[in-house]
Amino acid sequence: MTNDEIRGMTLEKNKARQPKILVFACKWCGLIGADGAGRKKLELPVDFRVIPVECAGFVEPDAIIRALASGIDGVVVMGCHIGGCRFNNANHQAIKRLELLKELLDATGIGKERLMISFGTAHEDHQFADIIKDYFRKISGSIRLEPWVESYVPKR
Amino acid sequence: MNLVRTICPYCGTGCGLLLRVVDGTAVATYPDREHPVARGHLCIKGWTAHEFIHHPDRLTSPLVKKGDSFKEISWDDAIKLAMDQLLGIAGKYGGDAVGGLSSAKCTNEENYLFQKMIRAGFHTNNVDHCARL
Amino acid sequence: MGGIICAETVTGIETMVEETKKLVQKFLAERESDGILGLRKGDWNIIQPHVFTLPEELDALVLDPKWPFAKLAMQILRTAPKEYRLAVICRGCDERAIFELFKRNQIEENRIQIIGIPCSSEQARLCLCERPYPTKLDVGDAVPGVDPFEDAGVKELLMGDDTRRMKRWAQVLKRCIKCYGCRNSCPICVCEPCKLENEVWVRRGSIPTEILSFHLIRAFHLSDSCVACGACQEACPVGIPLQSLQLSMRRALRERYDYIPGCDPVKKSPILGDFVDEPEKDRSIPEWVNTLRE
Repeated sequence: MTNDEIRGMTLEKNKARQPKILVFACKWCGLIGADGAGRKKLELPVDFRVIPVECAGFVEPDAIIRALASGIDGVVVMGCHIGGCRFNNANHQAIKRLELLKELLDATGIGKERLMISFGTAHEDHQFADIIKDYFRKISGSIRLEPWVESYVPKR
Repeated sequence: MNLVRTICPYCGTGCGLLLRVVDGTAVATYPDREHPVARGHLCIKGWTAHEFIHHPDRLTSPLVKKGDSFKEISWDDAIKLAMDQLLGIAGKYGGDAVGGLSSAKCTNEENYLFQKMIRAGFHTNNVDHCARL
Repeated sequence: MGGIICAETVTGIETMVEETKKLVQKFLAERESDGILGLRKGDWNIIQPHVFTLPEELDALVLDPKWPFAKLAMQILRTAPKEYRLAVICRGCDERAIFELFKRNQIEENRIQIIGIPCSSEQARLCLCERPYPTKLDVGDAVPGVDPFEDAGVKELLMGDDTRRMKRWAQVLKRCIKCYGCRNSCPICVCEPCKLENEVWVRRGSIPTEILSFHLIRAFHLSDSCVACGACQEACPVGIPLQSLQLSMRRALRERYDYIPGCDPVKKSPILGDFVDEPEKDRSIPEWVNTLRE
C-alpha cells in the first residue's frame, strides 16, 4: 500500500475517533500479506501504518513502548509461522520476549490487548485484512492512554 | 579501595555521599544509607558528584579579569583585592553602591555571615541569593 | 515455621556475627582472598561498606542493615589489579545478582568468593523477598520467603481493572524526578552506553521524564534478570514501588519456564532459547499466540 493510498483513505469522513495502530510486519511474511491486501483493494481500516522489519525478532520491545508512549493505541507484530522463520529461531525468541512485555503492559494497566502478536505465512492477504479489522474493533473499546500520554507531550 | 563519607556540595540540603576513591581519584558515588538527611537517596546531581572533582574545566583558584583575559591569582590576593575595591567604592559613593550575590551551594551559616557582612558591614540591603534570582 | 527461624532473636544475630567473624578470620589467615567486602561500624557508630584486609579490623564487622553489595563488588574488581580476589558477605539477593553478573561476563568467577548469610524474617517481610537466603549458607539458618502478591501494597498496585491500575501507576510514576538512581543502584544495569541516556528513547535534559518510555524501558530491560534485591526501590528518593513493576514478569518466567533469575550461575535466561528447547508446559507451540487463521 502506498502512502498516497493511505492518505486518500484518511480523507474519508470519520467523525468518531479512530484508534491509531502501528504494525511491525516481517518482510518475509506479514509484509507480503499487507502488500497483497492493499493490491487486492480489500476493505481495511484507515488509521494504521506498516513498518517493514527484517524479522519479528528484530522488533525491540523498547520500540513498542516508545510507540505507545507517543500516542499509538495498539501495536501489532507480525512474523512467520513457528518454525518458518528465516533466521532459525528468531521468532520463537520474539514471542517469548513480547509475551513478557505483555505481562508488563498488563501490570501497569496499559492492557495486554495493546500489543498483538501474530504469526502466519505469506500470501494471506485476506487474513491480514481480517486481523487488522478485528484488532481495530478490539482496540476501539479500550480507553486512550491519556494519563501517560499527556505527560509525554510537551506543553506549548 | 576506600569509601569516603562526605556531603553533596550541590545544594543546601546536604545529602550524604560515599565517594569511592582509588589511588587518590574519586571514581564513583554511592548514597549514604546512614545519613540522617538523605537516608540513601540522591538526585541526579548527587549521583554524578564524582564527575566534577577531577574535571579539567573545574576552577581551582580565583580568576581576576585583566583586560580581555582572566588571570589566576591566589586566594589571599583575591580577598585583599576584593576588600580594597569594595571598601574603596563604598567609601567613595556610599554603601548602596555595592551589593552581594550569594550561592545556594554554601551552607546556611555561610550565607548568614555573607548577608551580615553586606548589611552590617556596608549598610545596604543589596544582597541576594542565586536560588531566588 | 518455628524451628527454622534462628536469626529472629538477638542472641541469634550475635552468634551469627561471631560465626561470620570467625569465617572471615579464616579467609584472611589462609589468604583465600585479598579482601572481604562487608559492613563496618566505624566512628560515631556509622555503618558503611568496607573491604576488610586485616584481622584486627574485624571487631567492627556487622551484618545489618541490608546493603546491596553486588554492584560495589563488581566495580571494585574492575578497578583492582587482575590477580586481586575479593570475598563478599552476601545475602540471597547479592548472590543472585553476582550470578547474573557471571552470566554477563562482568565478574570472573575465580576472582570472587561468596560468604552466604541469611536474612531475618523481618528483613524478608520488608523486602517482600521470595528467597531471603543464598544457595549456600555459611552461617545461620534460612527463613522462609514471603509471597509478594500477598502484600496489601502490591495488591493495591497490581489488582483491580485496567483503568484503575493505569491511573494508579501513572500517579505513582509521575513523581519521578529522573535521578537515575534506580539505574545507578541496580546491580544488573551494566550497559554502556545506557539506553536511558539516548535521545532516541528518552529525551535528555527535560524533567519530568516521559514516564512511559523511561520506566517501562528500564523495567523491561530487567525482565529476565531482575533479582528482586530492591536496590532500585531503596534508592528512589520519591518512593516509587519499582520492585512491584517487575513482579508480574518474574511470575510469568517462573510459571512458564520454571526460571528464577540468579538462582543458578550457569542456566541461561529462557527467553534466549526457542520453544523446542523450552516447551511451555509440554506444548511445542503455545496457545497464546494469535496465529493467522486458516
